[in-house]
Amino acid sequence: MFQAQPTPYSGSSYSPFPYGIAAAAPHSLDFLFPTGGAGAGAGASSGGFPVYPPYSSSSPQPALQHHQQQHHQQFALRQRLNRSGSPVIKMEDQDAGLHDMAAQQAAAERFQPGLEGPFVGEKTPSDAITQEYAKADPVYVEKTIALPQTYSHYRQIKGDGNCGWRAIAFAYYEKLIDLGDQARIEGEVARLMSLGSMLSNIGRYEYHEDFAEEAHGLLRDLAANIANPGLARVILLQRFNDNTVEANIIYYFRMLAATYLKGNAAVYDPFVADHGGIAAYCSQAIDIVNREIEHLGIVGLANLLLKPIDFVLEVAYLDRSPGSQVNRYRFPEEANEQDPAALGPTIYLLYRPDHYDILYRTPVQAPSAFPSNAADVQVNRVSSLSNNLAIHAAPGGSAGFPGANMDILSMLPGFSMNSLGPMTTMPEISPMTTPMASPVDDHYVSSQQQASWGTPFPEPVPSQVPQQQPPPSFPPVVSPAPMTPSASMTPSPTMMNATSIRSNSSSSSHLSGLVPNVRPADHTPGYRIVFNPFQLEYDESRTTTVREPVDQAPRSTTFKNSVWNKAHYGNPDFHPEEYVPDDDHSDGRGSGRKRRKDS
Amino acid sequence: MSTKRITKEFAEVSQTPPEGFTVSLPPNASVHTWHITLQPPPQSAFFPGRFGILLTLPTDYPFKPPVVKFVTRLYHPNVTNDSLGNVCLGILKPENWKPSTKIVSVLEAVRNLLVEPQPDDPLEERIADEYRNDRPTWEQKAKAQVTKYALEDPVFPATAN
Repeated sequence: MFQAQPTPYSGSSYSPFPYGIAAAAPHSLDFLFPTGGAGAGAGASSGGFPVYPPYSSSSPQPALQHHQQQHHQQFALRQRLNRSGSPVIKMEDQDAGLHDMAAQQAAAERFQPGLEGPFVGEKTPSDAITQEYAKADPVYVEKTIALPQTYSHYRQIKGDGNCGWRAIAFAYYEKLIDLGDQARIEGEVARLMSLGSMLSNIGRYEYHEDFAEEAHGLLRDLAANIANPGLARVILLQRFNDNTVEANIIYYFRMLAATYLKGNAAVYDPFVADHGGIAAYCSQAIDIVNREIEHLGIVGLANLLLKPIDFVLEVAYLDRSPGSQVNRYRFPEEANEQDPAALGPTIYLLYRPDHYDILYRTPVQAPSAFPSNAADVQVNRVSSLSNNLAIHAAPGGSAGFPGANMDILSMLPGFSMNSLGPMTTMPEISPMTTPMASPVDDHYVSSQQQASWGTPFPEPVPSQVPQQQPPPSFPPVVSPAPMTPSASMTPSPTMMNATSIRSNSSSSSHLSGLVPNVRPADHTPGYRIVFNPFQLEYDESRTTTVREPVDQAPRSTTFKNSVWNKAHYGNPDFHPEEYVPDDDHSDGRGSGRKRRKDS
Repeated sequence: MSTKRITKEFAEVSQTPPEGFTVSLPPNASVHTWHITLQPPPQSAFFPGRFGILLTLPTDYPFKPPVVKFVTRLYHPNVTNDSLGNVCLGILKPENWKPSTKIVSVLEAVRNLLVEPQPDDPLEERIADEYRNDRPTWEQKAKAQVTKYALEDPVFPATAN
């Protein structure tokens, strides 16, 4: 999620040589910094015009040593900043300037973004995820649109480096509440307590009692209140949002996972040969607070905590791998081949690169055609949002114009927009819609829709090819190559079902009577978009994060190598530069150009 | 919450202190500040000095590492040679700290540091260079500072909390 980047002092600092040049800047700190604005300007000029510091002729020092040392210097510098107010930087070490990049790097690495929200959030409809990704890469758009069909709700977990551990721990307790069996929870207390000696002897944890006590205590409290599941849930959420309690519980789960791995070192050693064996891996990757869970950690927990009580952990991976659905993987491994219906209680997690949240699966329904269908339609809806076209805030709410009606309708289960939307185009295609060609037809319809609604993507986006290819390029029967495995696995009866609904709709007047104004072709020129709150939030956050100190002249830019720049490690409010994927889309010039092209 | 663990650990350390250590709590202070006196073993260059160490346990201990500071000056590559007495100790770095580590282990690590400095991870680069390249001079200076600062009972600063 958050990506810390070493802030370069000059735009060209990718080759090692300019480091030396840029490193001249901190020397100017000595005498220029206290003079405020002038200091910033002059500091910048020394970065722009190479000033060779006297030390550049000194013998080169091994880089590794600098790296190890830099955090101390950084610390010392901060101290001086803090103590005296006007910083006087004593150059104890002539080479200190050379460490500047390293210090910057270290500051970025240790930077903790101000995370908001509780450790464990409330259960919320997973449509929120869809909305969050509405402006993202098309692969994400498609996958997040499909997500709520399978997982109706999700629970946000704070991404402070513990989220994977926290998610599994919380879900474990929550599942036990779901089962509502007091004896079973008490059995868990006994079982976990019996693992105590294993933690000391195999895990080699000299101290685990406090951590364990907190985790067992919560189980006991849940067992005592299991008659009132609502109360038990409140207790659970409360405990997990209490800093000390949840830190203890999470650490307990870390120890459990590591203990399992250490106990099966022969199996897992080869996986972490580069760490020097499983014990070393555990001490580097699991035993340290705020260190994110990795595959082995999950394996350890799944085997020691979940498997004995027949719990299954299913992780849905939301990444940029091709496909229209999230990829899923179950722990323990053997659960992957089993029929989902035969599995025990299952914990669902959503994995996005570097982050885990908890998912809640929609109760399984009778197989119906609507999921694939609805997903298809919403792709159109949201991909045009992602386009950043002219946004017409709907006066008086979403009922103000027909486009909004369609959005609402598309959320109704079984009420597919495919059956309503492309009515104007339907007659042309209906001759081609044979049941045999149903998967192709799916795409065919959407491409027609897009053509009549204006081009949602001004520039060719490769992954959108299936929807953008002109109809003639589709062979009528053969499945097109971009068909995803999950889509092609969909039993064909449902597809045929979908097709028949659609072709019926072209003639069924009662449907169009329900939604009289749904005629997409009508608003082609200025395609209206429902006002998206995310857009507003996003714009505001951009303008506020690039805030400059007030005593600066409002017009001047803070140079990168100035300590007034928040991205400079010497700034007391240090905040590293962050990569903002939408940068090119949001700057006025770019969007203006696109807008013109589209209208 | 953490107070329970700290109390437990303090009881352990004060009843059976690791070799060379004496531990006490400052008067009228919480269990979060420990006054520790260390007498390094004879093979250390710092023998027979007695060094005062201020151990502060953060409120979110054990999830944040304890803070160790020398109140007695010493000429050591891994300890700042000033009144702050900051110590560079691998296991105490935030990125290495493990909540399951006991304070006893921390104390033992400090003692090892006095027996065997780690010039490759220095706080005082100049002293580290000297330690590496001119051991006799370093030892001489270290001994001189022991005589100058470390022969009397360490004086702990008045605790703020």
